[in-house]
Amino acid sequence: MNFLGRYTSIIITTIIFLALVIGVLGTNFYLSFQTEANAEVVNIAGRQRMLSQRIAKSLSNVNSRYQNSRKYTQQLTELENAAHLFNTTLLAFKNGGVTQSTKSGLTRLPPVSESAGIAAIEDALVLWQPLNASIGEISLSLQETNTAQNDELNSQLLSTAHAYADQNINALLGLMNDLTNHSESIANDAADRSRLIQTVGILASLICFTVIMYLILGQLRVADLARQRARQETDQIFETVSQGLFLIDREGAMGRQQSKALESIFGVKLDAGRNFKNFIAPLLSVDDLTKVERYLKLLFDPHKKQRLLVDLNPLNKLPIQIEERGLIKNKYLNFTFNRVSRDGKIIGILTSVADITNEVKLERELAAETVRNEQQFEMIKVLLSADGELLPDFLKSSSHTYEKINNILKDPARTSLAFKKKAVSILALVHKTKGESAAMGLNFISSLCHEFEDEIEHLQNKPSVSGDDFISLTVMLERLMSTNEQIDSLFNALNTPTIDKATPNSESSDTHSSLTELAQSIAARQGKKVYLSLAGLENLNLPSSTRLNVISMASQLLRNALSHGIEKPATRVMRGKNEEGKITLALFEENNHDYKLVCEDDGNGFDFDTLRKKAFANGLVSEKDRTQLKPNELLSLTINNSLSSKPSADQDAGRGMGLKVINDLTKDLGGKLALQTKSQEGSRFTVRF
Amino acid sequence: MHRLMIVDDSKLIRHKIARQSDQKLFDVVCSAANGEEAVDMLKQFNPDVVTMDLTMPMLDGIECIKQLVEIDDTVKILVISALNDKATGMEALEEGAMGFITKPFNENDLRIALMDMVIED
Amino acid sequence: MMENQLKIFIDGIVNYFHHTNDSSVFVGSPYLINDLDEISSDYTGSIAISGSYEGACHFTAPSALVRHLILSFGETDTSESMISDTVGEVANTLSGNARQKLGKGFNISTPTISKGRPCDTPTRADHSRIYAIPISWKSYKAALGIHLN
Repeated sequence: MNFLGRYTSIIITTIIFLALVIGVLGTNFYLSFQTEANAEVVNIAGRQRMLSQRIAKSLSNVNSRYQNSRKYTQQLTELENAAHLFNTTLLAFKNGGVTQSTKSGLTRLPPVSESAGIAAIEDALVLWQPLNASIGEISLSLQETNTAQNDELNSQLLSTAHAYADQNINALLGLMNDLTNHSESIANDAADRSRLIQTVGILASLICFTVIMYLILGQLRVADLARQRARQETDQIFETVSQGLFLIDREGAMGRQQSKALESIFGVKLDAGRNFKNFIAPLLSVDDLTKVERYLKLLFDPHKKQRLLVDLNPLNKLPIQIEERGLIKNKYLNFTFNRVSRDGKIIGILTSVADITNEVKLERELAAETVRNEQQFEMIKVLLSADGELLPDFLKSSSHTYEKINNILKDPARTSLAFKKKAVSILALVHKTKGESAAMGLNFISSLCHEFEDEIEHLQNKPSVSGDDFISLTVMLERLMSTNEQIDSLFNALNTPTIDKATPNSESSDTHSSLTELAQSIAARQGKKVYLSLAGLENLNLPSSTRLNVISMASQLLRNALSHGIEKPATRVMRGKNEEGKITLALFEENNHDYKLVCEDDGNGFDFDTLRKKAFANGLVSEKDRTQLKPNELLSLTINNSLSSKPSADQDAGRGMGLKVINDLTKDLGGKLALQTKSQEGSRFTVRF
Repeated sequence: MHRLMIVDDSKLIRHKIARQSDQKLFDVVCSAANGEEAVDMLKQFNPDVVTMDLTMPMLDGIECIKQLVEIDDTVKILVISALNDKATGMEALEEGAMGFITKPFNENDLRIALMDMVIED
Repeated sequence: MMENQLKIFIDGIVNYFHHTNDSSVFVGSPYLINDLDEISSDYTGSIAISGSYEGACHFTAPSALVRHLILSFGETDTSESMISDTVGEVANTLSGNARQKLGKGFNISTPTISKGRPCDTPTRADHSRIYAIPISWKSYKAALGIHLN
């Protein structure tokens, strides 16, 4: 339909052209007959001229021969024949009819229709008919027997006819000449007309042909343009598409049209017609190459569902190495395959290759980021429960220690002994950080330090130590340093102005607010309610290290009181107490440089029965001693042997470290620890230093 | 309605496939817990479509596919396997299965895959 | 993992000196530096590492050491270009050794040689530390600088 529409004008003009050609040829054919017929008419008319002369001559011959008594039969026959032919032809000119042709046989003449012709014929008939009658009489009379009477009549007839002919024959000749001329002009007119018709026909055909050529060329040009544009578009697509596109045929050969990106993806120009398998082979293991072959076979199998083959694609996220300007680059490529069918037959596979390196990298970074975030979250959790105030001091002191360790590592050494000496000095330094981080509650650091110590121990046990035995230590040192940096950045992030400080002008009230925050976060975690009353912890006029210890002690006491002392609201209500527990934490300066830190809660008090059971369960006391242990002895056991009254360990307490840490911290301060407690009423810790 | 047979050694997966297959298109005629059962049930129930696990006790998926195809070469087999090994998946297709999807799958994956199995390309 | 890679590079350098007529090469304990300048000597051969890990390995040595090394191989030409070539050759050996042992996922470039301060590789994150491994051979001191992210 479309086809017809597009070519309608061409088809119509072609039909016109053919009709014209046929018309011109047909007219030509007809006119050539006509011309021939006209020529015959002219010839016949010309013959009438000649016949009129011959009649006059034959009549004269017959007359003279008859007068001189010579034989005249032949001449008479000539006269008769000429007169007969003249007469027949003249009548045929007038009325239309058959006469003898100038060539051979007979020919039919049309009646003359133009007035000039008709006039000539009418005039000729007037002149001719008496002569013709006379000739007829002569002919009859001469055939009769010669008698004297007869002879005279004959002679008279002849001379009369002869005289009539002499007198009129020239006029008759003139008239026949007119007829001839007249016919000739008709024939010429006809010839002119036919030439004109032919010229016009040929001209029209030529015009028509030109129109056809114009239309066809226009149509071709349009088609060419469209094809060229389509080609350009395809080329543009192939130039700009970021994926590598090409076809694979049944034989595994790669198609001629390939997108430009293909070259940049693979770093080399690909030859058309190259076998895909050979092309991909250097990028794959033998095993994978077999899989590709098998997969392509499945793709060409019409019984397999293309979409249900996608999961088997062996070239999905394919890692490859490509050399670019001397550097080997790692890339990830994704191949996708789509069947190309024609008439229900799979004729090829459209393959697109995408460079997904960035996506894979992002994916990995995201995964790494997730891990990092989890680690940071862990750290934040720890940092929140650790003592924010002391962190900068801790970070400063530990970084300093790491620097020292690094310098020890840097010191030149050659002998095994020298290396072992290094290890010993490093051990002392790490141990210090381990203790500090444990006191801060930074368990991930203390466990790293612990690993560090283990490694040193392992090193010390070696019979001979050299420089490369320190590799692991250096790597761990790097981790410790990075951890410090991470904590530092986290700490800075947490302490940026986004967290409003209640009283930003005083350094010590920071201590108060961080202790309050700590108390509330622990309480929230444990489903408890607490009111914290603080006193004397601001304006600590103490040396930095003592201050660190005091605050560390205060937070540890607070943690302890909340975890072990304060009961859950329901329990408190049952015991007739206020739903909200109360903890008082206060520092007093008793004498000059003598301090007293008191932590008091209205909670559980010490549950000596549970502690007795635990002490027994841990094998610290015998069955018999168990019942006889005095509270003081029991407390001392608890402090020194990491007993916890909490049934299970959690983030805040339960490992039995709490009291031990308090005890250790007291020792560090060079102070004394006192404890008063009453079951279900509360406890009071007093540290004097 | 297409007659569907489910082959999987996990009861949970069998139920999941039965529940999630399009009820308007598929009639679950039987389900088999291993390859041998599958072969018996194919003869008995004459299903059009089979979902096939690859790792099963008694008779594994590949062997099962071979036998099923031998009995009825018009049966359409969709492999649903957790196998990370693409080579085994390909082997299943080479032995006569028509399609492959990986476990775990969601309802949509399964529906589309089953529909692909019965629609002419 | 990190330990293994450091070990591979250290072994590589030790092996190299074992092929000289004076095989007494000492490796000091590794330590950390923030800038390659802290260890860089007259000549430095660098290999870039890409792939699963990104980073670089640098071998830096004073020209006297390299000259001595050349002589110990029986060569007499100790011109500057020869010294460059030799440092390159050490780095190349290190790279080859590492390529062999680290396998897939590690791409190791061909070495670049620099005189004086070496060019830091662009892949090094600003604050990542460099492992410095002191090496002594005869009375000379050289070093390896390695960083991997």
